[in-house]
Amino acid sequence: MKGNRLAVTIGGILLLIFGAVLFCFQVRQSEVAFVSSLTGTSTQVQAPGLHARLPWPIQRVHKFDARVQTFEGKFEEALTSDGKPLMVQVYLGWKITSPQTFYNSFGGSTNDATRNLEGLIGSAKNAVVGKHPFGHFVSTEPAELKFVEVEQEMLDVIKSEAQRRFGISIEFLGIKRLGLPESIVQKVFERMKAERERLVQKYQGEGQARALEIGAKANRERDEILAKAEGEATRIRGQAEAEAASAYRILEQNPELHNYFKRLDALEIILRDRSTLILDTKTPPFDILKGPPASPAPKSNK
Amino acid sequence: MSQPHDHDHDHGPGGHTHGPGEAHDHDHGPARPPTSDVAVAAAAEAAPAPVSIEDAGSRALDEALRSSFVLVKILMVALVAVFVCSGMFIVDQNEVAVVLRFGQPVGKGEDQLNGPGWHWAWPYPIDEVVRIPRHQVHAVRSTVGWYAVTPEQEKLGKEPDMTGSLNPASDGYALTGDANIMHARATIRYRISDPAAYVFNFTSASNLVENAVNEALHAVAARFTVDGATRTNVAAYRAAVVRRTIELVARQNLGVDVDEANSTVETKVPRQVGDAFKEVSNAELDRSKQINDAQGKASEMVSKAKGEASEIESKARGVASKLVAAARADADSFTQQLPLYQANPKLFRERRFTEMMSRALTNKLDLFLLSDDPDKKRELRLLLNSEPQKPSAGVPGQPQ
Repeated sequence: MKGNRLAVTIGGILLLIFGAVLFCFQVRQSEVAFVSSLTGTSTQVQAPGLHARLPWPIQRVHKFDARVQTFEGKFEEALTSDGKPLMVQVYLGWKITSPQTFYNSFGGSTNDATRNLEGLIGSAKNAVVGKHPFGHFVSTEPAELKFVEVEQEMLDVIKSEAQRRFGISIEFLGIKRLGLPESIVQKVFERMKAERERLVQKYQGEGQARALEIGAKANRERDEILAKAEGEATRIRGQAEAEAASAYRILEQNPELHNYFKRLDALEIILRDRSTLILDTKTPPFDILKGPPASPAPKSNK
Repeated sequence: MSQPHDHDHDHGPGGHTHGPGEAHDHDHGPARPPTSDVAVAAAAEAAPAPVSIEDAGSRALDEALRSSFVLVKILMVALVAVFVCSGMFIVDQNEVAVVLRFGQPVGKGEDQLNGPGWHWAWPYPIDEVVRIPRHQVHAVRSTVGWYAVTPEQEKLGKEPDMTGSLNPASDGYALTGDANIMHARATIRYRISDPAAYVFNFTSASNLVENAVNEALHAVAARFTVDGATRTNVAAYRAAVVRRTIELVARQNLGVDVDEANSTVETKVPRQVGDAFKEVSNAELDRSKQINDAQGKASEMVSKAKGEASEIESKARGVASKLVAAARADADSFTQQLPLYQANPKLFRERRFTEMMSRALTNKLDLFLLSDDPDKKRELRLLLNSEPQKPSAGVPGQPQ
């Protein structure tokens, strides 16, 4: 009896496992699946976990990677709306959202999918680049630059078509490389060199001009300072002269005496050095040489 | 099955002990009839108490089955134990683990992350343990904007040969806002902040981070001038690239945290135009030197002028104070002498004149005295020195 029970248990477990294998399937967190049946209907299974099904060949389960995958387009040339060649490479993140459509289009082959995406993004890129002038891709003017808008536009162009035709959702798109054809690069280098030479000349000119300007300004400043000082000096002297004049006002009490002093001083200064003096004997103090003072008041001519 | 085996074993060792001495026994062993094993067993049982052979046989079978079931039970318990133990797993310090039950994560949000330590999960195919590195710093390097250079050359600091242009297939670069060309590359470091999203939502999140950096390098270069990005405003370019990268990875929900401080962005002008750029920096240096020199000279000139100015002023002040002092002295002496003069003008004048003369005559003077006698007529000849001298011999102020 014991053995029977054990056998039944084991048998039950085995049956359960067998049944589970036949009637259940797992969808992993990172997967998306659909179940197709003989009648031709198919059901999409989005949620991860354990799901029921009828055994093969009545129903078949198709599982796909639901994670975002990276796709990088080709680095190829396109013409901008103003006729300039521009090389653009984009990358995008895509994932399978509608597994039936994806399966019908590519039979589950990711390689086929990327090949088709390649064509889709290639034409979208050409179309969008052709709508924008070169200045929308690179510009120092923030108002002119449309880098991000261009990316968005490309995304909008392919998004609905990718969803409809391939059953995939384009999650995001970015320009990963921007360049110019090789021959143009050479021209750009030449232009850059010419630009640099212009800058060199400009800086040289600027240096001299600025130096001259600074020198001139310094000259002006010096002149101003000196002129101001001279003015101040004149003012000081004027003030002093005014003060002196007020002091001299006293002299007006007797101009005759003042005059006399002045003449006396002048004469003394003249006689200070290397002078030859011819005097007659009447001139004091030599008048006394002629004899004792005849008169108490020697005459002095004026 | 087990019963005959037991007997075999019992006999085995016995046969061996006797083996070397009696070759006879061995020769006879195989010659026994095939049923002899059971027969011997039955004989052994039968010897103490004679029972029917059928009874003994079923009892033996029963016993054998019972003991074999015990063995199977032990085996099964062991199997279950192994099965259960196989579900144990260890999560390392720098990782977390997510348990998927039938493909679906167990728990929600932060709860689904199992930290370091021992954990248990059902064995496959019920549960699946997914380990995700967490605190580890990851690095992605974007060289899509750099010219082709091998790691060896990089290590030695050697530059690869260059041509007059850049080959789009191998040499990367970025277009700047002023339609020029520069090289730019970056190493961005990040940590995984949302492990579940990082692993379950993307086939290669690190690849997407790298492409975000690629995009940022070009998108930001598109609005910088080549001068700004490579020389004058490198820090701003760097910051903008990192900011754009952060913005992109956040928008794409990559579940990573960019480590801003340890990320590097490098820019360089193309080597084909490097010399021209160097000349510009030299010219700039020259310019600033010229300007500095001029400024030095100017400030020297101004400070010199200031010195001169203060000298002029102080001189003027000196002259002025002298003037005032002299005037005051004159005035003072005038006021003092005026009463004397007024007392006797003639005497005063004569006295002052004589005083002056006596002072003057102490100088070296050639003095000639002429008599004023009207009777004596004399001729006075003056030989004036032809040598130009200070005007002398003047007698202007002489009272006559």
